[in-house]
Amino acid sequence: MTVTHDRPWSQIDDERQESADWIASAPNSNEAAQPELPESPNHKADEDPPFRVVTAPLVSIVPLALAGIGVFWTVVQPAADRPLLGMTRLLGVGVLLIASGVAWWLELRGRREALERCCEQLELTESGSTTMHEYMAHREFRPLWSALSRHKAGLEARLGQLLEKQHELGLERSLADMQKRHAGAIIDSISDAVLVTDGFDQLVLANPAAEAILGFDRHEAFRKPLAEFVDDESLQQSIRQFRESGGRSSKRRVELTIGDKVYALTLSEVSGERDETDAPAEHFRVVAVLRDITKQREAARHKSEFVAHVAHELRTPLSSIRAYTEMLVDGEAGDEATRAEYYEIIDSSANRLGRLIDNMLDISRIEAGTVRVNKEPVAVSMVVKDALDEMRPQAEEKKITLTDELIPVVYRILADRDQINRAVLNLVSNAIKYTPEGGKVQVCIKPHEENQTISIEVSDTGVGIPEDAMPRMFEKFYRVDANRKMAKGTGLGLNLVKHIVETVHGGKITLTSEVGKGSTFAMSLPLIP
Amino acid sequence: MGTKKILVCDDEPHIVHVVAAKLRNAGFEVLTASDGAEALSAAQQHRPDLVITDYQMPFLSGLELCTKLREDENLCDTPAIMLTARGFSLGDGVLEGTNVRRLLAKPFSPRAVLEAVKEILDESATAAASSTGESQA
Repeated sequence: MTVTHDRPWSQIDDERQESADWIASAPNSNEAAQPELPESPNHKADEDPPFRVVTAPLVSIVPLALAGIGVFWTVVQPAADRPLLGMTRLLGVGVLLIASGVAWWLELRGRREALERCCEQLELTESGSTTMHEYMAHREFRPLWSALSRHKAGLEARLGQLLEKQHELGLERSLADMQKRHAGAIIDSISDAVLVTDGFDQLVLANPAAEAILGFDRHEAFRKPLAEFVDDESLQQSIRQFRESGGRSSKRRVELTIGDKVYALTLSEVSGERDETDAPAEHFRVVAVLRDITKQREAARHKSEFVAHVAHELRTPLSSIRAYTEMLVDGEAGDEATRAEYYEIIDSSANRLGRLIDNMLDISRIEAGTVRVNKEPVAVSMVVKDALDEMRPQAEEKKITLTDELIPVVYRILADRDQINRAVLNLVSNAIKYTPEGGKVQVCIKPHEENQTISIEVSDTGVGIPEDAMPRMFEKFYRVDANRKMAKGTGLGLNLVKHIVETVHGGKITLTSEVGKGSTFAMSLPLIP
Repeated sequence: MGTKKILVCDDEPHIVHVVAAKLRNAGFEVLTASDGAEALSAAQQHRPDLVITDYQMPFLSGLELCTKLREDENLCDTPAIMLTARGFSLGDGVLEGTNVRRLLAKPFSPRAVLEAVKEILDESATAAASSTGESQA
């Protein structure tokens, strides 16, 4: 008998029958498979001694004795007692018949009992017990014993294999469960809305982002048509069209506006769901992913506005360069003085263009975090002094008094010297630009020991800034209309200063101003402890 | 026909300066203004034959200026040329309700401005002549 792992359960009964037949025809062919006979009588044997011990002598001795008596009466007795011959023969035959009857009865009884014991043993084995009745050790039961033992061994092997298989399946199942939970957790953690619908546009799966964006409860909406819980018609329509086209719709990416947000809808079919493209439509599942692209849209809009603004700002000095160059080429500048004037305008416009490009690149580098910063301990008073020295000619040209209130104590900050110098220069230059002739510009240093900072303040007696314009002063290209005629600038200077102070050096820039009286810009920077 | 009067308006003094120089060299009388509001009052006061204005200006933009000129009964026929640093990105219909005849993108050529001025003044003269002719007929 051979039992393989692959045999299904239904074959086991047949197999048992088969093995019984096989054992009956060749009882001793599989010696190795035969288990040992019980060595000591078990409890069952104690209660119920083997019937064979009683019946075996009875079955052979009682009929033989009776038969002997019958023969004696029939053969020996007649010679002694002739007159009783007929009677004696009758008696002898009678005894012989009784002996045959007893023998027949005893044989039947013996067989029945043997059958009963076999049944008991079979029942015992069937129940899974490994106990063997002792009487099974008797020679007459050997074939049955061997058959049962082999069958039992086969069953046990099969059981072992099945238990192993069950264990494997259990492991596989728990692994599959774990993977399913993981996949679910991953889908739930995605910030994009994920919806899966079946061939009837009913919800099969949704994540919390989908609930939040589309405003439904996924447990309530489960197996319900999309139209019942999603208000957005274009979403319903896109999913339906995609499903109806069998995934061949070109509208795989659609933009949807839900509320005040813009979403990019990406549609795909659940891969592996269908084996053939001709599969029924109801098996077609659609995965809809909604990504919030509001910010990207806004950023794109800002960028395009910025580019338009930059283009405008670049065109202004470029216009001067082109127009004056053409005038010179056309000989429209009649005298030397006019020509010199035109050259100077071209030169200053080119400089302005260069500054504009430099500022723009600097701001963009700081914003992108790619600016090269060389921080080192810098004495604040030195930075201020350098800036004032550089700006003095410009101040003198406008007859503006440029003063400083420097303190003898050396305060150091950890800063990029060039950048901080640039920020101070920008503030002083602005102060000079927007202060009428004869005014005053003052720079002072104020340490704040309590919070370990130092501030550089640039004050002027200039035109001042209207209150409504104050919050926008550090925006790119923002200029106060009323003060436009005072000076030409790139519109980027203050934005750059703010970036240098706050983004690069972790400081803070503040502004106080009063129209007609002047403004004060204060940059506060952390001191080296 | 006397010297034509042209009003040039831009918040960039260099631009005003160069356009004015080109036109003066060509024999025109030139008035200048540095913002829309100033240009409007100058136009109302001096009744120029043509206005050249920038698009983006403080207080009153070039577009607002041209709209106001059109609304003014004395200036409603005054043609205008608009200079813009925004390229030709002005949407369709923006210039409706104005007398803007030409849109010139910055950076511009003073030569092109002068040509446009001459063309517009010729067109106006022809139109005026034909309307006079018609009324006489």
